[in-house]
Amino acid sequence: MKPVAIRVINLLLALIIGALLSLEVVTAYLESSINEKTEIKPLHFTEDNLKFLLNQGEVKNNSFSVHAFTNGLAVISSGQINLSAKNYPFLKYSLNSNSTVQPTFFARTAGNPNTLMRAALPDNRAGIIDLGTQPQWAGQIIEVGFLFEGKQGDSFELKLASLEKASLKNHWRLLINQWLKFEPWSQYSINFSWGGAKYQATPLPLVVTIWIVFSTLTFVFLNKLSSQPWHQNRPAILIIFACGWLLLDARWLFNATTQMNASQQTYAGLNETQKLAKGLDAHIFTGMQKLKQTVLPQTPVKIILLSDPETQLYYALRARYHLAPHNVYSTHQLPAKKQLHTGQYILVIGELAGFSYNRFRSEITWKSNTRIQATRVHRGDYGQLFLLQ
Amino acid sequence: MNYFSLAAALILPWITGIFTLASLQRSNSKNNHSILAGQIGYGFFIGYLILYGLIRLSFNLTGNLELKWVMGALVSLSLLALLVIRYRRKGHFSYPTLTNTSNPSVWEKVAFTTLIILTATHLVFNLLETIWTPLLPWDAFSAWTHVAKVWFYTGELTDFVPAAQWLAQPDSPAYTSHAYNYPIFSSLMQLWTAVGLGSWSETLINLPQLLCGLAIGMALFSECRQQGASRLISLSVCYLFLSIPLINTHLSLGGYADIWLAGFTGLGFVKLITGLKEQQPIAITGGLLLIATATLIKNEGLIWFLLALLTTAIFQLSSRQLLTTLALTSAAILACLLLETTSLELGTLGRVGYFEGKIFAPNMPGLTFQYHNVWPAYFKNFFLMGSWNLLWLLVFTSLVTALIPPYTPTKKLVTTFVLIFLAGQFFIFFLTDQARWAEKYTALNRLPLHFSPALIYACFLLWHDQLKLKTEKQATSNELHNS
Repeated sequence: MKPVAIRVINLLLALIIGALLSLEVVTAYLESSINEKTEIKPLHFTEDNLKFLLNQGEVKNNSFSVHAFTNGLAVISSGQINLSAKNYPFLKYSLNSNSTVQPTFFARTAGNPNTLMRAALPDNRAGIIDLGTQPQWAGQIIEVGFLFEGKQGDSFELKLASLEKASLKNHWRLLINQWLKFEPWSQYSINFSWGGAKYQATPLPLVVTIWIVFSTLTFVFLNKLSSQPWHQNRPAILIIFACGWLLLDARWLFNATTQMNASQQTYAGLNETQKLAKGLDAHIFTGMQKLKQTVLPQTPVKIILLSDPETQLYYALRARYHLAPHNVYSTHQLPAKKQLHTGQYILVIGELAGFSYNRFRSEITWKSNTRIQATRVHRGDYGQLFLLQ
Repeated sequence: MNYFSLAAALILPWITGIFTLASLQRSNSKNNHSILAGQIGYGFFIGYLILYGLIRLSFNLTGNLELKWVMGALVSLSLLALLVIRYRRKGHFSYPTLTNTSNPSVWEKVAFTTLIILTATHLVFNLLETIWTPLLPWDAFSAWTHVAKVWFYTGELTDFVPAAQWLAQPDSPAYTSHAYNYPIFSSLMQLWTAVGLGSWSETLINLPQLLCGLAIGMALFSECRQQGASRLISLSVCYLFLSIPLINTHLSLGGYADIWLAGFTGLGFVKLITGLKEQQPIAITGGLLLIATATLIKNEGLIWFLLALLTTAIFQLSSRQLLTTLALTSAAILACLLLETTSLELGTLGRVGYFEGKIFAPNMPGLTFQYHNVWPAYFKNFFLMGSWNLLWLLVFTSLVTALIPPYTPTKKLVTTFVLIFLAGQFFIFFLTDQARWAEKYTALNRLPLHFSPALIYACFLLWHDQLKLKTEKQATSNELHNS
């Protein structure tokens, strides 16, 4: 057989053996976290052990269909039960819905009966949640159920829901879900990517690295067995590395495709104004557009923008951005009185502790000791706008 | 919206850069695609640098950004460069001989086609996200792009000042932002795009950044081909860069200046490394100049330039010269300590040196000198999360390989560069209060991004050199055996 053919066979064998070995390592690690060996049967949710609290849906073939909401909520509950949390660390389910709001699994424990433990069901399809990572899922569980937030027209179908024990199959299923969890664009995307779920029992890059190491060692060994020259290892090592890179790239492209579909559904075909009106700060954008078009002068004016830095900073900076070219200074403290001037505007985004306005006296009070004469010229979902007098 | 004008605004500076670079190079061959790829890649950054200069000139001379004036200047420069190219072609010059032009096998063709498809897929994804998704990242809407938007709507290069100054001068037209002392290159490029389009766009203003990524890829392809790599290997290097998840994110969610730095600093180091390897003074100078211009983009560009000088010095100087330099530097530091003068005030550049427990660099706030343990953050981000694919496995494996004897000049060069890069990261994130940005997983990834083209290229050089050496040794051994 030609030396090249031998090396190709060795390479393929090395990749396969490396994959098997790395899977074995991961399996051993997952098994080490399974303490109980006793036989525990899954607790399947059926019409016998889970009921609608207010007749907000129907059960057919153990499939729960939700189509009515009271004050925006529908609840399915087990009522009083008694089960040990450590026996059932996994929740499996299958979900269909036409809503973007995720249903929540809830539970109450004997140790803290007045507090609801909640876990969002992240996937609008079949999924599995590791309840064991929730600190509140401990001790004796006295009630479980599902919460659905919705409005008229929304519908949910929950089926095949069950609580299950810690098994190797469930751990693997959870791990794969963690690797493939969709990571949409967010404020942290520009800084880093989790590569799936934030928490992964065994991160995929680590597993791929182990695969590369095992495959490389196996290839070197097989090459030595078949008396291949040592220097022929290097191209193969690069190919093994390339396989690892391609696998992780496939995961990224899978996420990218989902993201692309989401972006297309949200933004494709819309003009600039329509796109901005769909963002997280839609109410801020709409408010600032209204201010620019109908309240503020056409020539840029100076605006002091106040906001709570803990809860409103994002909206405040978005407001400043949308208000351009108005000259905006964003802060969380009202400047000293001597630094304020007639004709300046004060824009308050959201609620701000220490800030109040008396419309009868046309007076802003700041932290009980500073009073400033100002007229409120506009009020909206974004907050309030004042003109200093 | 004028899409034709937008296209011209994006492409004209690029063409000017390509022609300018071609006019400066000693040879031009219509058949040498790799050199053309390099001219396209590096030409993008030269062209946009020229554009930056013209925009500043336009504001200085007229107080506005005159689109037609700048476009006219770009066209004139392009024509001038073409004349120079035409004149030089009449003279004597040599067509460079490209090694490794053998016919690829079927498998190589399949692999090449696959990589083309994968690379194109990444770029298409980036393009669609750029077009669809409105401005998202924090520093974009709060700093870089906010500045560009103000300039677009005011029509002037309005000043940005600190908040205290803004409050103290109610009649001043100056604006305020926490980014008041940021360099303005990135914002000017967004402004230029908006002016070219004729209106402000939350999406299209980031198209130059997408082109930036494409240009980096082409430059990497060219450099690898110039080193004798096959088209497949060269494309692999290009694909490695363009498939890094964090690079994809920066190309899709525009508004940050980091991808520009990946071009100027990253490609600058690529050119510097090539120049040091081949002992080409022009390449070394070109690389250093490219890295130096990074100071126009982000403040840390100055530190990257100092690292580049250090890399050059360590590689070029002999051991004796290095020891002498080290001794003199130590003596200078000792003298400063004895004289109790460890810092200098440089006027508008601010303080430089060590003062009251802080380290100062021009145009940068003081950094508190203190050790922080951010190893867990680094390990997690580089090896366990999804930002970098397997880049850091490649880098550290290459570094270990480079430290194994026998030592070749390429190994010394790669080791020098990677260690200096790591030393820079260690200094910034382990020894100063910038560690908080590492602990928050922010700058910890974005700063290494600036070096990513050069890190990939360095790894390529090392492995390519090793494979070439072994092949040559084997060939020599076979010849001796046969004779």
